Amino acid sequence: MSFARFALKNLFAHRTRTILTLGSMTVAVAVLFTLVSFNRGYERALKSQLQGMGIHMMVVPVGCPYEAASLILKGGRIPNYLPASVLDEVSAIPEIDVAAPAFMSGIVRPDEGRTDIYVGIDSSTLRLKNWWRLKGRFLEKPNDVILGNDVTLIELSHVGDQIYMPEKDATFDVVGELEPTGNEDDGFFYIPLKTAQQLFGQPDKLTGISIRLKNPDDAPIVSARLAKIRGAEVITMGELLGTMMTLMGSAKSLLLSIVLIIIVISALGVLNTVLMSVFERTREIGVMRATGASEMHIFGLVWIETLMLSLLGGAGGLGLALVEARLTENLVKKFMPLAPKGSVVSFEPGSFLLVLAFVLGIAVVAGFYPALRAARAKPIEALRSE
Amino acid sequence: MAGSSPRSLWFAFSVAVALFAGSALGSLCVWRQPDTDISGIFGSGGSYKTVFADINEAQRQRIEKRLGSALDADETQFKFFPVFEGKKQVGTVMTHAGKGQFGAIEVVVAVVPSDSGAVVKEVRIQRDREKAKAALRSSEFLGQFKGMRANDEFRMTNGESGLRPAAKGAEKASQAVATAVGSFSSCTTK
Repeated sequence: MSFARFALKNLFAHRTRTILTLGSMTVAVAVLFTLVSFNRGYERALKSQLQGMGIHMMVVPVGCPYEAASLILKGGRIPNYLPASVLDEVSAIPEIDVAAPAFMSGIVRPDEGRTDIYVGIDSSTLRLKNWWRLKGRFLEKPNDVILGNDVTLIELSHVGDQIYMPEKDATFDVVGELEPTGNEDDGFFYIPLKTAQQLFGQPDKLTGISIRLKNPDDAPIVSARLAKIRGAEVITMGELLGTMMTLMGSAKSLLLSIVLIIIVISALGVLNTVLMSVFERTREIGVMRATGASEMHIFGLVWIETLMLSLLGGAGGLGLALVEARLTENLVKKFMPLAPKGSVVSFEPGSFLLVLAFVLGIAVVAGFYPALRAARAKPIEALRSE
Repeated sequence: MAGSSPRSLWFAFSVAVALFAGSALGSLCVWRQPDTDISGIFGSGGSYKTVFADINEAQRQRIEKRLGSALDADETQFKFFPVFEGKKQVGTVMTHAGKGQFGAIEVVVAVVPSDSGAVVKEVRIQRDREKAKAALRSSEFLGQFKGMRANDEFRMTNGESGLRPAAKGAEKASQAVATAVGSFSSCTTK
């Protein structure tokens, strides 16, 4: 009988114990694989969403831009705005291809659990976001509005309809609707820049200028020039990504510590199962040693048993992760503050290899002591044991 | 359905719901304040559950015939909320999103059983961005629907006998409310 078959037979001899150990391994591996895949997928989705914006940098008013964004989402008034004259200074930089000014403000609808975000734009936005597919036409008159795709679904409104903003007693004609963009653009009401500035009582003020460079390699030079503009701050997309990842860092550390605890518990579970099995088979091991089996034979036998237990649990865990990943993803995205659109779980060969290494690591660590103990058992003492 | 007992009416309703059971659509909307609505409408702190109901082409045509107007093209499913006090079902609520004059309008319709069929108990508006908001939410306008049954007329009649719009300029929103009430009432019959 081969080592593998012998080990398998022994595992089946104690089904309940084996199943329970496999269960804990399966859960540990599933959590680890999902977390690693989620971590990589989230970073990739965020990067792709930021790159998809076609924006290389943004000029924003001095102050914390994340606090400002949060205030706008809550319908608050931000402390600082950019004077519209900044746009002229920005546009004068020759390396800049498009500089698109925007004025953004929100109106909270507590009964509906959401905020209507109005974005004042001009035609430069259309050049900046040249991937936009617009049904209808662009903004021409002061009371024109273009609806993001999500807004058309929420308001059941399309080109030719009217939208009323009760808080400002303003009526808009829907002149255009965006086809799905897959990013945050889907959720905004786009109105003419001047209309937005007047409606929200900030004439000649901007909340930001989005910039696309002729050559992205010029980012450091342009960034240095823009930093000299008074009252303005520059954020490059790389910085934005870095900050978002830092924000996620603390949550990630917490999750990783939970996974580490799960790993330790499952390793102890495997160790316990194999050690119990060795204790129960002391006499059997003694017979094997007395009939010619070497220490290495016994060591290999016990170690293969641990390896099989770990690999079976690992395979179960990977399968479970593949099945429950989408469910976990939907659940996690609900609670994530900065959830990019699309899938944030990415199954990659690298993640698979990492999990495989974890499984083998458990097998090596948890199997070593029981295997060593079994191999060193003295045949005569083992045969005497009950 | 005159002469039917309340129990058989609820059975008919359950059958209708079971027949409709299944997919997705645009007229569905969330029930935003169930606790407030239940206590306000049924005068109790009851519980509720959610039931999805598909409508097939024949059912759709029947509802449209009753309403006298077409449902939205993507209106292929309704969502019902049977309301319970203890284990006893005291009524049913439906939420419905329709197109108003200036954006979407979401209506909450509550019906209760009676010997002569399901009767509208109360109609509320949970979301709108209408200019005639006050008139649309007034008891003069919404009160018109109280006591209506599936066979009643759900078309705005502009001051003639029957249903009157909430205000001038709010005809489209008023009709959206009437359509929501009518489509639900039609669904609650065989």
